[in-house]
Amino acid sequence: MISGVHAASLEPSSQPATRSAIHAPSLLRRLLLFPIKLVWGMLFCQSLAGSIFIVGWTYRLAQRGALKFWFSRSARHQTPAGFIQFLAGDERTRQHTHWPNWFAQQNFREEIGRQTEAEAGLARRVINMVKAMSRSLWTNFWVGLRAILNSWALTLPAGVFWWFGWYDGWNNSFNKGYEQAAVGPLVSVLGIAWFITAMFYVPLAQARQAVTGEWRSFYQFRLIWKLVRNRWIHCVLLAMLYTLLSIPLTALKTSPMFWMHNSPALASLTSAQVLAALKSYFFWCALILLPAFVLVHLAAARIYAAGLISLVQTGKVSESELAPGERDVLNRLGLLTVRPQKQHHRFVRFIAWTGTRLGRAVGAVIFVLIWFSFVAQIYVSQFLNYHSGAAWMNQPLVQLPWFRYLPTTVHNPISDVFSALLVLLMAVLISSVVRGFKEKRD
Amino acid sequence: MSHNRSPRLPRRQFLETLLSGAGVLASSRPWLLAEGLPDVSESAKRPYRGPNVIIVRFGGGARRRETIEPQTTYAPFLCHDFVKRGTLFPRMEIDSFTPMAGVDTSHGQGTLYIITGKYEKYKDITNKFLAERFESKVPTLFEYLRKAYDVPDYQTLIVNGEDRSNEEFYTFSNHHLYGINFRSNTLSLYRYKTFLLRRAIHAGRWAGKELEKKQRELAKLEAVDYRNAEPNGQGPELVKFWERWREYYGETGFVNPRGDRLLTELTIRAITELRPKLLMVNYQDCDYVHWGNLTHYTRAIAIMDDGLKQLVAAVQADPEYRDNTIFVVVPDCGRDNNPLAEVPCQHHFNSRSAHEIFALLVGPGIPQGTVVDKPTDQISVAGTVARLMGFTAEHAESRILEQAIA
Repeated sequence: MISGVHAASLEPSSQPATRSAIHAPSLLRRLLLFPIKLVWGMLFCQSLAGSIFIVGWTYRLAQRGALKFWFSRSARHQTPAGFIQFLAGDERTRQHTHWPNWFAQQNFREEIGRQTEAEAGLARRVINMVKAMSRSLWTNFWVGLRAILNSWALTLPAGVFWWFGWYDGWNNSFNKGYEQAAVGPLVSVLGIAWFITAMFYVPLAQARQAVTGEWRSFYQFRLIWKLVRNRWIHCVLLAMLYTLLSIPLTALKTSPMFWMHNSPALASLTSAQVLAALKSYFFWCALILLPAFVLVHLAAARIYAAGLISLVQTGKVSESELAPGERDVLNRLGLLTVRPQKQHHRFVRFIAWTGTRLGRAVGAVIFVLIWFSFVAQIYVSQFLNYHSGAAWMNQPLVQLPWFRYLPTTVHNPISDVFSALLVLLMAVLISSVVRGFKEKRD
Repeated sequence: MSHNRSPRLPRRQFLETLLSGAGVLASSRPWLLAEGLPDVSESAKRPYRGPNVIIVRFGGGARRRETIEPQTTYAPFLCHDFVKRGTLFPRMEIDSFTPMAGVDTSHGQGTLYIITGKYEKYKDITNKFLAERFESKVPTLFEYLRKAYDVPDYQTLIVNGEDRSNEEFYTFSNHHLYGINFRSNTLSLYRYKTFLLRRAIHAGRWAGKELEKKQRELAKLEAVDYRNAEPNGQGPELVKFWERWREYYGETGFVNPRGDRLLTELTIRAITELRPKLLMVNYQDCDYVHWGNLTHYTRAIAIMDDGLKQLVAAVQADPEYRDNTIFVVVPDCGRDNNPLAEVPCQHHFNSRSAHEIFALLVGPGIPQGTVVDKPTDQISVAGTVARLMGFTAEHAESRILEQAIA
């Protein structure tokens, strides 16, 4: 396993627990830091590689959100020791005492202070300082990379089908290939069906991966499906949130097509001017995108956390099915107890059963319609202002929050892919070097 | 006249055609038929002896850059060869005389601007989404010609694409002095499909419920052209035209050329078999660029260009047409040059580039190798064609392209 990535996991850390007290940052400090952190997030939204960092950061925040929810449902919530103290009480949750950082290690000052006491050599101190300065960046990248790879595994085929279906559908219209007329539309329908089916599962699977910090947990189909069934109304509402938040983003994505209508002089812009104008525009678009992306993932994490408690406490999910970190936290909070279910009259149970079945069926239909409205926005947007492959294959709220649709005449999108690959290569290289040093030292 | 060169209609077909006409006469809406009664003054009209005119709508929507600009053209025949044979108006624009709000730069509208010589704020008369069904208030060139001369409707033709049934019906206006009595006729796959269905019903291919279903289908197809009650299909000459088409290409639609190549083929056959005096071919496939594939646009221009080359060759090969045919090449509209968009070639935003088109006139009486480098307007085309053909288009724009008339 690549070093450093466990920072987002609830698994026991190899580092010894510290006993120093941790306090919540002051309101003033938070107010001062918030715009800086927001601007960094908006900058990360401007590139393929940067958006991977955002996914990682958001997953870490979602993990914290789940912990907070569980804490609010525990008896400890009533005690004077608050959430921060609960988190600080264990090394495995201590990193969540503050919101995740973009660059520096969590609890940076305490950590640096501790290392300064322990390490005497200047070189070691410099190395530790560099590591501490970039620990969160490192973690955000690897958590984000694993997250997007899993999300892509289930959603990318849909985007490819859409892209090909659109291409072939209109290519077929152009060439009047009546004999193959069905291919394009059928591929599109397949893509739509694929995406909607995947979205029954993906939001809570993403939440599970975020909360457990384990990429494999994304594929615990039985557990996640239980959660979806248990929280189906919430899943419908989450789908609604996705599609509603997608509306302004679709409008923002499409908007540049219409600028010239109001300002004909734009037709005479040079490529450099076009590039500058669009870069600036999409930077500010991130002001909408970033909160929207974070919001849907926090909502999913909350639904996941609530569903998991419900399933555990009704005995529908056993302790052994939980990730070790989850088990530990729920145990600390006293939430791992199976509560006896009140026995209702047989008739009431029958009504509840049929109601739930019927409700689920209706919910499934509504769910499909809501996600269809999400897909419809993609198609309408492409119809109004075509953005080629990237806009088919990447849905910023579901996959990467990469929101910069530059015309290929002024910016080659391949350069974004190469930049992302370069970042990946560097990360792998650094990881290998660090591991080599560690092995040598040990 | 050359239309007599068409093969004779077999007796059986003739009887079927007659019966079909009688059937429709018995069943169709009599008030519509009343509009189509022969004009009493028709017998007094002079025979037309002027040049034939073929208007090539270089559409749907083409910019100067990909057509008449030598460095970037996808229409080599038009740009490098055909322009030398006539007079080019490279700075033609849409709605430049007295710009009015609401003049759209689009295909149906552009076609009507070309054939009426007048701008109107066209509105869809069906109130259906994307229907774009327009009706002109002023006469079309076809009506002017047929009112002035003894020219049958099948010799005034619009050759139309299969995906634009809304453009099938620009054959006549709502003008009270013109209208259906002076309409032109249309060649298109829509018409051919209607012909096939009508023919199959009359041949007794179906019975019972299947027949009723097919009759409903036919009624639906016919109802699209609701202003025009066609008691005998499109008339005997076009019925014969479609019979020959059927014999050659069959009924499947899989054998005949497709897209804009189909329009070229229909036009060449029309020249050979129907001997049109005024014909407009509405090329359209450029418009597929809306869906994001820029090569649809550039390929369509190349296909149109090749179609134009074939039309010119067909005319050159025909002794009656060779030195007696004028070509008018003009786009219905331009396209945007939007640097902010991945596909910069929309045309619905009334951008300057969407207004910028061109016109090329080639034929007898038109100066060769002339480039008129001054602003002109699309609605001047109608009056120019009228002048060249020897009639007056009194409702069209009076400022014509004088430089095209030697």
